[in-house]
Amino acid sequence: MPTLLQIALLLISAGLFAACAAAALLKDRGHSTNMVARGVWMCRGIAIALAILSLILHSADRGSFWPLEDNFDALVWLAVMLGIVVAYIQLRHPIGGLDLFAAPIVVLMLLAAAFFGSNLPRDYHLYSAWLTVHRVCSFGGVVMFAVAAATSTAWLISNDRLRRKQLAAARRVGSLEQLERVNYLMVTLGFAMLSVGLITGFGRLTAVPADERIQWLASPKITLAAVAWLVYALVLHAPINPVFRGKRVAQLSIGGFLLITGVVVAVQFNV
Amino acid sequence: MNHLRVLGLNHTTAPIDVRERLAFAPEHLMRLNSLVKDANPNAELIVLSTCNRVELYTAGTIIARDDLVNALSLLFDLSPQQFAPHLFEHHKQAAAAHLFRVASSLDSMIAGETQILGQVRDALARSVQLNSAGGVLAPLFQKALAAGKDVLSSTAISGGASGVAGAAVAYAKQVFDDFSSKHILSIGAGKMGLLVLAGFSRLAPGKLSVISRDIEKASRAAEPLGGTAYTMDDLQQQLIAADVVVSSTAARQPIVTRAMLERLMPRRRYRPLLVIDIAVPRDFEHAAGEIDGVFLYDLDDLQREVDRSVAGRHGAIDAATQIVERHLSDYFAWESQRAIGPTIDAIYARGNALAKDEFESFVDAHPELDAKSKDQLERAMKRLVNKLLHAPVAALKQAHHSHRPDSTPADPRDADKYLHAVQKLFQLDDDTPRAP
Repeated sequence: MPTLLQIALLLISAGLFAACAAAALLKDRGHSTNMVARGVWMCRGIAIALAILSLILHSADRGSFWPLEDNFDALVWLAVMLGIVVAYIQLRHPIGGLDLFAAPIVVLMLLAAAFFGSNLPRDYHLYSAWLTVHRVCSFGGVVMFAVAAATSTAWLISNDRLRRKQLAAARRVGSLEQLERVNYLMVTLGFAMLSVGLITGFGRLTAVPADERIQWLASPKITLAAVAWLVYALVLHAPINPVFRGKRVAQLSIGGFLLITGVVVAVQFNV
Repeated sequence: MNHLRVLGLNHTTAPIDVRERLAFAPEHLMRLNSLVKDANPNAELIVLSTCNRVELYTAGTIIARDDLVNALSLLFDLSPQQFAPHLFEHHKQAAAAHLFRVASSLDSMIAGETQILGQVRDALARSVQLNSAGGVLAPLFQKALAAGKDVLSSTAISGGASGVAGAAVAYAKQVFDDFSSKHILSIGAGKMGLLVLAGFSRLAPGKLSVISRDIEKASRAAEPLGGTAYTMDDLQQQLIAADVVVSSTAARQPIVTRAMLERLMPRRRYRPLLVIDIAVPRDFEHAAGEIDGVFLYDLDDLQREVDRSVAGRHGAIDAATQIVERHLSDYFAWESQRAIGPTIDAIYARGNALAKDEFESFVDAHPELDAKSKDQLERAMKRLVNKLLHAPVAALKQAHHSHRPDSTPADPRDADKYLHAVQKLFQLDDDTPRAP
C-alpha cells in the first residue's frame, strides 16, 4: 500500500507535469518566453525527481527494490520513463508539440498510480528471468508507444494547420517529416519490445491450469495486446505499402496506443 | 564615458556605392589602427564593417573628427568630399545606445536579421587581437552583444518570413526536415520562380532541376544553382521525382490538374509534395491541394504569410526596444558606478587621512589620555568624517543614478559637473580618475 507521503509526492509531481503541459499550451498559442522554457525544464526535472523519490520510498516500505512488483510501482515507472524519454528527445531534437501531448499522458499515469495503484497489487505467479524480460519489455513498449501517440497527434495537428495555411501555428508543433521519423522510430522500438513481451508472456501459460488456458488466452489483456501488435505491424508496413503513409500511420499509432492503454488498465485490474 | 564616440555611415545615411568603397579588409583595419594609435597611443578603436555599415568606435582620448576622416580618405584613396557628407556621429550615451541598437538588429535594414550579432562579435575579437579594444570599448561591446542575444532569443523579431521566397522556404521547412535527400523542381525559368528557387538552393537540397519550354533557358537558370535542365516533355517524370515544386510559368491554363496529380501519387509512393505556385494565372488546379499529402500554396497564401510576419515583427520590435533600453540602463548604471567609485574612495581616504593626522597631533599634545579615551576620540573623529562626507557623496551618487529609468530624469551632464566639482573641492590627487 502506498503511504500518504508517497501519494502526496506523486500528486505534486503530477501537478508539475501539468504545469509543463500548460506551458506547452501557452507556447502553442504563441505566448512563450525564455523564462517559460527554463521553467518547463525545471518543472520537468523536479517532477521526475519527486516521482523517483516516491518510488524509492515505496520500495523501501515494501522491503524490495526489485522494480515493477506492484501496480503503483508499475504506473510510476511508466510515467518516469516516459518523462525521461520525452526530456531526452527535447534535449537532442526538440519537437515543439511533444510536451503538449506527452505531458498529459504522464499526468494521467501518475494520477492513476496515486488513486488506483493500491487497489489491486499484482500477484505474479511466475518469478523468473523470463518474467523480468516480459515486464521490462512490455513496459518499455508502452513508453515508446506513448511517445509515438504524442508525436502522431502532433503530426495530425501540424498537417491540419498546414492545410489551413496557418504556418506560424504549424511551426510551433514541429515539421511533419521530423514527427513522422520520431513516430516510426518509437513504433519500431515499441513493436520489438512488445513482441518480446508477448512471447515471454506466454511463458505464463505454464502456470495456468490446463482447463483455464483458452479463457486466459481470450482475456481482455491478451486480446487487446494481440490486436495492438497487429495495428503496429500495419504501421511498420508503411515503407513497403505507402498507402499507409502520413495521416493513416498517425491515426493507427494513436489507435494502437489506445489499445495498449486498455492492456495497462486490464493489467491494473487483473482482467 | 571616457570620450566614447562613433563615427560612421550606414544604409540610412549613405548609398551603396559609397558604402562599398569603404568596405574594410583586414589590412585596412591594421593600417587604420596604426594610423590612429601612432597619433593617439591611449586611444581605443573598434571598426564595425558590414555590407550595410562602416562604423568607427573610439574611446580613451579625444581624436579629432578630421583626423579620422583623413585616415579613411588615405586608407581607401578617396577624397573626404566623397564620403564625409554621409557620416554620422554620436558621443557618449548616444554612441553606446547606437551600438546596442545595432547589435540587437534594430538598426539593421531588416530588423531581426541574426548576422549582425556575429559581425559585432568579430569586430570586437579583431580589435582585441590588435590590442585596440581597452577598458571602455571592450566591456561596452560585450554588454551590447549580451543585449543583442537577449533580443534575438526573447522576442519573435527574427522569426517569420521576410519575402515571398522566405515564406515558401518557411512552408517547406514545416513539411520537410532534411533537405539533403530532397528534390526541388522549378517549372518555368522566370525571374520570380528563380528567386524562390535560389532561396531553396540555400537549403542544400539533394537535387535541383528546372523545367522550361526552352531547354537553353532552363539550362541558363539551372547551371548557376548546380541544377539540371529539362523540357516540358519531362514534366510528369519530374513531378514523380520532386519533393518541392516551384511553379511560375506564363501558361494561361493550369498545367497540372488534380486528376493528373492523383494519378501520379501512387507512383510517387504517396510521398508528400509541397507545391509553391507563384504563377498568375495559377499553374496548379486549386483542387490539387485537396489531395492527401499535397500541400499547395499560391502567391496570395505566401503574401498573407509575409504580411502576418511583418505585423508580428512590429510587436516584436517594441519588445526588443524595451529589452535594449533595459540593458542600456544597466550599462549606464555600471559605467557610472565605475566612474564615481574611485572618486568616492578618494574622498573618504582624504577625509580619514586628515582625521588621522589631527588625531595623532592631539594625542601627542595630550599624553595624559588613557587608551579608552583615545579609542573614543578616534571613533568620534571617524563618525564626524562619515557624517560630513555623507551629503556630498549621496549627491554624487544621485546625480549618476539619475540615468536609470527608475529615477528622476536629469541632464547627464550634471553628473559630470558634480564629479568635477567634487574632485576640485576635495582637491583629490591626480591618480583619481577625472570627470570626462
